[in-house]
Parts: sequence; structure tokens; C-alpha cells
Amino acid sequence: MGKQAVRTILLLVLLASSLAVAGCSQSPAPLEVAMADLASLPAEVKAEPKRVTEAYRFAAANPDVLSRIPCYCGCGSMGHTSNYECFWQADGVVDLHATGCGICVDIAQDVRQALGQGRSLAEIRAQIDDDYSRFGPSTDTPPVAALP
Amino acid sequence: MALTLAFALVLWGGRKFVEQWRATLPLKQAVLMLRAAQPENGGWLGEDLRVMAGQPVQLVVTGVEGSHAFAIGYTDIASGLILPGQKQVVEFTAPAPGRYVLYCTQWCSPNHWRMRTVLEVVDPQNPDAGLVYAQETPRYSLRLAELEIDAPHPAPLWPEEPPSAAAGALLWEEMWPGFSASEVSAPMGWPLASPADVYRQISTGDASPLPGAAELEEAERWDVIAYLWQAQTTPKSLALGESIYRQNCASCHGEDGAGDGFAAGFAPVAVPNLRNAATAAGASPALYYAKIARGGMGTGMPNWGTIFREDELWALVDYLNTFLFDGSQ
Repeated sequence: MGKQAVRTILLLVLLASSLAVAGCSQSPAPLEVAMADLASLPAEVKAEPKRVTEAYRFAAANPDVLSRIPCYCGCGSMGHTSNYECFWQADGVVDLHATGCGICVDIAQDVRQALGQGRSLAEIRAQIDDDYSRFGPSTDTPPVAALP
Repeated sequence: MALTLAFALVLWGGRKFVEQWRATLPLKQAVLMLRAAQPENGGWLGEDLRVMAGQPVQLVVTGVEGSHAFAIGYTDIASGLILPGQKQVVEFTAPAPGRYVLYCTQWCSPNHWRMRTVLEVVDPQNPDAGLVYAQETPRYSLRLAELEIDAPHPAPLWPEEPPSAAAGALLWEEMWPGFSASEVSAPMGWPLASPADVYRQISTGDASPLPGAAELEEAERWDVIAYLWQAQTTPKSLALGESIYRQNCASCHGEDGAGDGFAAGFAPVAVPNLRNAATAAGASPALYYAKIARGGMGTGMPNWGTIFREDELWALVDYLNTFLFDGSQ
């Protein structure tokens, strides 16, 4: 095969792939996000609706993530330093605060979805700040860069 | 080398051409399927809801258990009643890129307020861009940290009887015919001033922004404040506020704001009585706005700020004040 033919084939292959890329607008399938077992939750949390139990399971399995995400529910005045503490206290004891809180669970579910979409922690934190900072002051949460 | 460059150019041009050609094609209708279960069992069940801005969408919701209905915040998209075994098909054109809350508008269980999911609308030109919830520029630039959203707000003084905006209008006509209500209320701190703050300001003798108001009877001064409040709103806004309140708030807060809605007993904290003048007169419009928009703090109050537009939130604030003032026109 001559050089010219190789180049022509190469061109056709590249053109076809560029067409395929241009035609691709589907979002990738969600990535697997770590979740603690439902069975590991305390009984009073297990009795909550699925949206809430999912948030507790997600928080339990992702403390490094949620401890870098601020909460905007007003809990900074209770001493919380991140959205994680609306679900679990620092010593791993459950906190029932989020069982009665809408915005805490919404934030955790948003983080879970964004993580499944492959967003970085810095991007997710920026998204949460953009979405919720208009509703009030946040917890005093360590920056993402402070991660070990 | 020249040949390679030429190939690259042809490739780049070809791809651009295809992208532009595709952008001129009408977007194919997206069909989204959801199942409506009780919130205890997951609420809205199905795949992630993701469409492109401008795309025609057919949203098919099948009832599994309980009775539900949905609306999508920041849009006028809403369904009828969804009963078990029945289908609701709602067609719409996807709005601007962003995240939109799809929420239940039919009280279905003590966990009704948890029945939410998200519709993601991506920009077809930039489908991988991050998305935030639909939002509008706030009507007022409020310093939320200074509002102390969760602090008690007892009023130092309050009206014994619901003040009458109509009686206040007559007094205004008689005493301050050349004054515009909005010009008077803005320097008094609207929307940061509570009714009690305004009462104090107009009762300060020579320093009163309304000359002669301090000489009026207490009840008459409250009537004037009711008129000032009514002048900030419109019958249309009050009607909008009432309709949103009845659909989304009355189940806990009660039809008339007394905190005795049929679902109040399920709330994790006592639902406040919004008709209690001793606290309602201490709540500024800004405070009500912030409480509605954020909710939270373990109270069982949802955050409505990701759902309602600015005019809807302020319409609700206007309507809440009818529990303190006589809202009759």
C-alpha cells in the first residue's frame, strides 16, 4: 500500500471519529459512589425515608468528602464545621439533626450526585457554595486544599 | 509536513462543520420515565433526569403507591394528580441550563416534604459544564449573616386587634395626602424593619417620618402600619402568595397560619403560630423571606429557595403578613 493510500485511510478514520465525537452528547453513566450498608445505620435513622437514609449512608462512607463541604442550614451556630457533622459527630456517633433538616440532606444528595458524575471535590464545593450561599451563612469548613 | 498540516486543517474544518450542522437540527424529544412511590420507599424512582436546554421533553410519571402530583421549581411545569396504576404525561420544552427541583405538591405522607428530585438541563453546546440550581438576582441585597434567621423575634409591642389597612388608608388620605407610602417606608428600613420597628419610628414625636402620627391612638398607628404594608404589595401578589401557601405550607402551618395544620404533629419542632402578634410584629419581611428560602436547622422546614422564584418568595412574605394585618382590600 502506498503512502498516499495510508494517508487517505487515516484521514477517513479520523474524520469518522470526529463525526462520532461531535454526535456524542450523552452524559456518561454515573460512577459508583461508596455507600455504607443500610443495616449499619441506627434504628432511628433506618426508619427515615430513603432520601434521608441514603444521605446518612453516603456520609458514613465519605467523611473525607463531606467534611470539606459546608452546610448552609444554620448549624454553624451549633458548632458544626461541615455538612458531615449534620449526620455524624466526630467520634462516629450518629447525629439526628439531619433527620429533621431539609437543606442538610439536599446538600449531601447534591454532593453524592456530583461525585457520581466524576466532578472533583473542588468543583463540588464551588457548586454547593454557588447553590446555597444565597440562603445564609455557612459552617466554617476547612478548604478543600487542606485535605491530607 | 505541509500535507500533515493540510490534513489537520481538513479534520478541524470537518468537525466544526459537523458540529454547526448538528446545532441547526431540531433536538429529538427526550422521554423521561419516573415512578411515584411513597417517600418512605424512595419517592420519585427512576433514572437521573437529564435533558438538553430547548429539547422537547415528555415526562411520563406512573403512580406506584399513594397519591402525588409534581411541579418543577423555577418553571410553570406541573402535573395533575398521580394515583397508583395511573400515568401522567407532561410535555414541555426544557428550560435554560441548570438544575431544577421536581417536588411533590400533594400532601402524601408525614415525609411528603422529602419527596424531591432534580431535573438537570445541560447546555447542548457545553454538555459537560457544571450546573447550579436555577436562580434569580435577589430583589433586595440582604446581609443574611446579620438577619439571625434562627433567633427568637419577640416584638416589644404589638397590636391587640388585627390592624385594618383600609382604616389606615383613610387616615393616610386625611393626614398625609401628599406623601407616597413607598417613599416613607423605604427610609424606615423596608424590608429589614419589623412592624414593631416601624411603629416605634412613627411614634417618636417630632422625629416621626409621619408628622402627627405620634398623636394618634395606638390602634390607629397600627392601622397606618397595615396600610404601609399593603402599599408594598398588590392584590395579585397576595393571591399568588395565598395559592402557594395553601399548596405547600398549610399542611403544617395551618390554613390560617395558626400552626395547627393537620401535619403539624409530625414536624420535629413545634410549628409556630404566625397569627401571634407578639412575635409576628417582631418579624421583618426580610426575616420571613430568609426563613422561607433556607428552611433547615432541623425544624422540618424545607428550603424553598431552590424552588420558588423571587416574586413567589416575596408573594409568600406578603401573604404571611395578612395573618398580622387585616388584608382586606
